[in-house]
Amino acid sequence: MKKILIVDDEIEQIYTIEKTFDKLFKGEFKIISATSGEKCFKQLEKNLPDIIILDLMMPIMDGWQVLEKLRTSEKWKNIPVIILTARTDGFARHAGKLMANDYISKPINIHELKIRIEKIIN
Amino acid sequence: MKIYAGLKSKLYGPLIIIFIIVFFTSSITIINRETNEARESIIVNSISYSNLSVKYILDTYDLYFDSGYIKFIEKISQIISMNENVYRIQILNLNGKILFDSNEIISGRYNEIESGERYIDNKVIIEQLSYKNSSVRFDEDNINYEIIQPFPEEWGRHDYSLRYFYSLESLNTLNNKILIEVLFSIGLSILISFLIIFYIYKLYITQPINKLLKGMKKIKSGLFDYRINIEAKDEIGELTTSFNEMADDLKSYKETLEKLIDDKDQLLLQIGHDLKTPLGPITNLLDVLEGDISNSERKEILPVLKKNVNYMQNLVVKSLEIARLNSIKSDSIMEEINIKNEINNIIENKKYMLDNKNIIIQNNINNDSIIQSDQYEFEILISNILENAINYNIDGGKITIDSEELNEHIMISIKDTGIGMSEDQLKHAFDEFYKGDSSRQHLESTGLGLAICKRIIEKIKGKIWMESKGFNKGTVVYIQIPLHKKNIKN
Repeated sequence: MKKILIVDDEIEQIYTIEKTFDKLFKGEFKIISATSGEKCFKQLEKNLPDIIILDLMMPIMDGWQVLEKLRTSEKWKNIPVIILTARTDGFARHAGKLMANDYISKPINIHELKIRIEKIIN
Repeated sequence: MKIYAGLKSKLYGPLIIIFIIVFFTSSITIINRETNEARESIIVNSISYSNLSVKYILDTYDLYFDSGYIKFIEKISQIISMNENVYRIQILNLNGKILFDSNEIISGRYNEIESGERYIDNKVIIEQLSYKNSSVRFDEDNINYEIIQPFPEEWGRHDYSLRYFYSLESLNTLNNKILIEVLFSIGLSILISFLIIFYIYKLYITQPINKLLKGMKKIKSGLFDYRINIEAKDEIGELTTSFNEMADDLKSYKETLEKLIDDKDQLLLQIGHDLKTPLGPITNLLDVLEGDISNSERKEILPVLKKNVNYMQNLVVKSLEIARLNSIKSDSIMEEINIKNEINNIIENKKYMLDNKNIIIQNNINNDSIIQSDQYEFEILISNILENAINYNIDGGKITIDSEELNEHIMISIKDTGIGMSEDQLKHAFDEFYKGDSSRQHLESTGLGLAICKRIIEKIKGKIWMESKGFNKGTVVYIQIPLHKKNIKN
């Protein structure tokens, strides 16, 4: 079972993915979560995921900072990351593509998210 | 057709014409006057020459009469050569008898014509011979003339008169000299005045106007900071001031406008984020609910909710997208895109939609054509077309994608087996918020998808159009995109 780490400050967004993945693709994925950038690294210490789904807009430590820390660390630099954001401006798109493995804009479509995850981890 | 004629030709053209006219009229007048004066003076000169030489000639004639004229011929030849205009002298008595004629001197000797005495038969001349004063008579050609010079001796005796033949031929060489002098001096003065006028025009008219023109072009190209520097207290100076004021206004309008556009884009970004975020949980959790509801009333409600929520989601996403594309400030990032890989990727991402309606997709794209586009926008372009081909298709239908390289373009066609389109629908399909007629009424359609496609395709200088044979006969969407230079071999 593939392990997915969702990093988002909005609990309901995490809940949605958790719930729909559980209902629609039962048993295929294990979802773990973190509600802030800092907590993301605590989770990583405990549980190493196969992929991270990262929200860009978060208070204190935003998605860019998380991504930078991930990419510069020895331990986690190879974990694939899908950026999740409502921003579709040129900068966000471009930087997201350069630093992350994929980029998906809100509102997410669960089926499409699943396809994109599978494409990366398989 | 009007031919472009610059200000210079308009300013200098008439001036040159005026100068040419002045040049010719003044040259002709001056040359005529000079020539006449020269003529008069030659004639006056010749009269006094005749006057002064007559006594000497007749004295020597008398003196050397007996010695066979040898000495006399010498003297008379001298007299003739001393004045360039005289070419012949005759000595006559008052009856018109020719006593001597310089024309009869042949190689230094005087050969008196042997036919004996010769007389002049012109009565006018005979009359003039007895005048007390000299008289001038012109030939018909006005070039040659004669002076009859009487020789009154002491005590009033008057036996002989001299007939001098003059020619004005020397005037011709003189004329040429005058001509050259006059033309040169007038030409020079006209050239100098032209240069002065040229300089003045250039300094006060053409140069400032060219500066203004340059300024206009700069402003037109969007350089609102450009100012013209002409210090002139005239109409052009006023024009410059007005121009600079106008540029100030334009600059401030532009700045205000830019700020408004920035504010609008920021607002859209913020609203976009806030509107899109809650839609994810709503749409996705409704899908979850759909699976396990037993209550029949709720089972009825759920599809209505779902349909409306999907419509709302579409509307939010697509409105924001078209607003972004319509914004003057483009934030597109152009990159090289491999058509085959990108389209395969998009098809994979939409697989769940295809599976949902059991639609078979046949993808015949197999050449690695590279185009230049913003990857995100290209994805939206193809996704929108593909989603239409799925949404308006029948269950178990088919979608065929083909591509063909044509010179410097690639043409992609996406063909479905759906409900098709009427001619009127085809005409308006790319208009914003156009939804077709009731037969196509689909609640989830926003009427923005194809308008977005058109914006995106325009950005990459491509073309998009559709063909359909009518209702239930499917639709083909064609897109034509310029190939990246890399592909074009030669």
